[in-house]
Amino acid sequence: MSALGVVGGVVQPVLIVAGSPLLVGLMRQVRARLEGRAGAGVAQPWRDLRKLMRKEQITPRGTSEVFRLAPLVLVATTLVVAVVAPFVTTDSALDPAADLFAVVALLALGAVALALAGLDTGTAFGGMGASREMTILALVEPTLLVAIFALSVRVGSTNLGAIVSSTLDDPARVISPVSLLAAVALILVIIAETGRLPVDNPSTHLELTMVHEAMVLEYAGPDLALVELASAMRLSVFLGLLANLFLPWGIAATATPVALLVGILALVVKVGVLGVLLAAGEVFVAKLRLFRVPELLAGSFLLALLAVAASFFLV
Amino acid sequence: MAATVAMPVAVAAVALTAGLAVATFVKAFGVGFLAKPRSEAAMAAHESPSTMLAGMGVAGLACVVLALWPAGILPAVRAAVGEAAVSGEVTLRLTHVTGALSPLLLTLGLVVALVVVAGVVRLAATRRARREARLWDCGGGPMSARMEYTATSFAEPLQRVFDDVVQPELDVDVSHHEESRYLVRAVAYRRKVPDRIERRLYGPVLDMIAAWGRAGRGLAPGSVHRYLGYGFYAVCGLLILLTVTR
Repeated sequence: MSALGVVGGVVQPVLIVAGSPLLVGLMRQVRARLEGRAGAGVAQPWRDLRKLMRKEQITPRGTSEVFRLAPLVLVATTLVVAVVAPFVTTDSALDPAADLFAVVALLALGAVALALAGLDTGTAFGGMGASREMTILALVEPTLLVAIFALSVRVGSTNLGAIVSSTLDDPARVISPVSLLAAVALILVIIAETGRLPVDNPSTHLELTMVHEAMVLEYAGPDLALVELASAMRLSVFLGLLANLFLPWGIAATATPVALLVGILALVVKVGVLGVLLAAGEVFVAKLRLFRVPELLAGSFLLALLAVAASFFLV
Repeated sequence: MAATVAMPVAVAAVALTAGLAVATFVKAFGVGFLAKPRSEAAMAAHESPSTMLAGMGVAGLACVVLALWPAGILPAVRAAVGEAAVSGEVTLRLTHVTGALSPLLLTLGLVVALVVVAGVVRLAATRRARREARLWDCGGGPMSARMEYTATSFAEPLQRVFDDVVQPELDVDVSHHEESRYLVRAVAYRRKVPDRIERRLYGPVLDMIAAWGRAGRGLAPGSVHRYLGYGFYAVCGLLILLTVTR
C-alpha cells in the first residue's frame, strides 16, 4: 500500500460520487440541446437527489430486508470499485481488490442485489425487470471478463493498475489489434450494462420497454436517491475504466500534487468527452427489441473472444 | 501451441459459465425465497425445527468460512496434488502468473463501504419513520401471487437466447368455453428443458446395453442341457485353441 494508492483511494471515490450526477446531467443536457430543448441544466441530478433525500422512507407491503438493503449494497459495491480501480492514480489503496475479476464481480454483485430486490417486491414489474436484467447481465459479464482478460495477457497480470501502467510505458499497444477489438467489445458491453440506448432507455417509463426502471419501480425517497446515485456512479466507473484501459495518459503515477491534479483533470475530461459522445450517439438510435439485444451482445462477445485469441497468437 | 488454441476457448467457457451462474443464483434464490406463496400449502408453511436448521447451518457456515478464507483448504489440496497453484494466507497469489485476490480484504472493504453509506444516509435523510405503502399495481386492485414472475417466466428470455443449444420443449394447452371458441377458459403452459447430453449420449449407450441384455436372455432360457452344451463347446474350443497355438 503506497502513498499514491492511499491518496487515490481517498480522491477517487470523492470525485466519482461528486461528479457522476454531474456527468448524467451533462449527458441529459447534451441530449436536450441536440433535440432542440432547453434542458434542465447540468446540476439537475444533484437537485433531484437532494429532493429525494428529504422525502420520507417508504416500505412497500410484502417486501423484506433484501429490498431495503439492495440500494446500500449497490452503492457500496460501486464505492469499493471507485476506491480500488485505477481512475486517478495507477496504484490502488487495496491492491488485491484491484484485480480484474474482483472488480467485475463487485459490479455484478450490485446488479444481483438490485435484481433480487426487484423479485422481492413480488410484482409483475419487478420480476420482469429482474428477468431482463439478468438475461443481459449473463451475456455482459462474460464479454467484460474476456475483453479485459485479453488486455491482461500481454501484461502477465490481471491487476488493473498493472495493465494501465504497462500501457503508459508502451503507448504503441493502444493501436494493436488486441486493444482495438477489446475496445469495441467493451464499448458495446458498457452501453448494455449501464442501460443506455439502444439496449435500454434510461428515461422511459413504458412497461414494455423497461429493463432497469422496472426493477426499481417500487423505490421512493432516499432509497430511490441511492439507486439513482449508484446508477450514475456505475456509468462513471465504466466510462472511467474504458478511458483508462485504452487511453491512460494523464493518470497520476507519482504522489505529487501536480500529478494528482493532472490525473483528476484528465479523468474528468476523458469521462466527460466519452459521456458527451455517448449522449450524442443516443439521439440518433432507437431502442432495439429486447430479443435483438442478445445478437448485439453475442457480437461483442465474439469480438472479445477474437481479442483474446489475438493476444495469444500475436505476441 | 496447444495452450494458445485451448486458452481462449477455455477462457470463453469459464466466462460464459460465470455469467450463467449469476443468473441461476438470482433465479434460485429470488424465486425460491422471495416470492409470494402460490398455494394454500405454501402459505401454511412453517420453519423446520432447530435441529434440522443446525445441520444446514453448519454446511452453510463451512461454505462462508471457505469463501472468506480459501487458504484453509490449501494443505489438503497440496497433499492431494503435490503443489497448489496458489499460495498465501489472507491474499491468495498465483504461483506462475501475477495475480492476487483477497476475499477477506474484499469483504471487509465492502462491509466498511456499506457502513459508511448507511451512516451517510442516516445523516442526510429525514428522521421520519418508515411508512408502509401499497405496491404499484397500475390502480388495478391488489396483485395476486399468480401475477408474479415464476421460475419458468424468469428464465424464459435467457432460454430464448440459448434456444439452439438447450432446445426446450414447449407445450401450450388452450381450453375454450363451451359456448364460444373465442372465449378462452384456461391456458396451460409447460416448458421443459431436457438434458441433451443425457438424451443424445447416455440414451443410445443405455439402449445398446439393454438390447445386449435382452439378447443374452435368449441365450439362457433355463435349460440344463443347453448350459452343459455351452460348457462342452467352450472346453472343446479351448483345447483346439491350445493345440493350434502351441
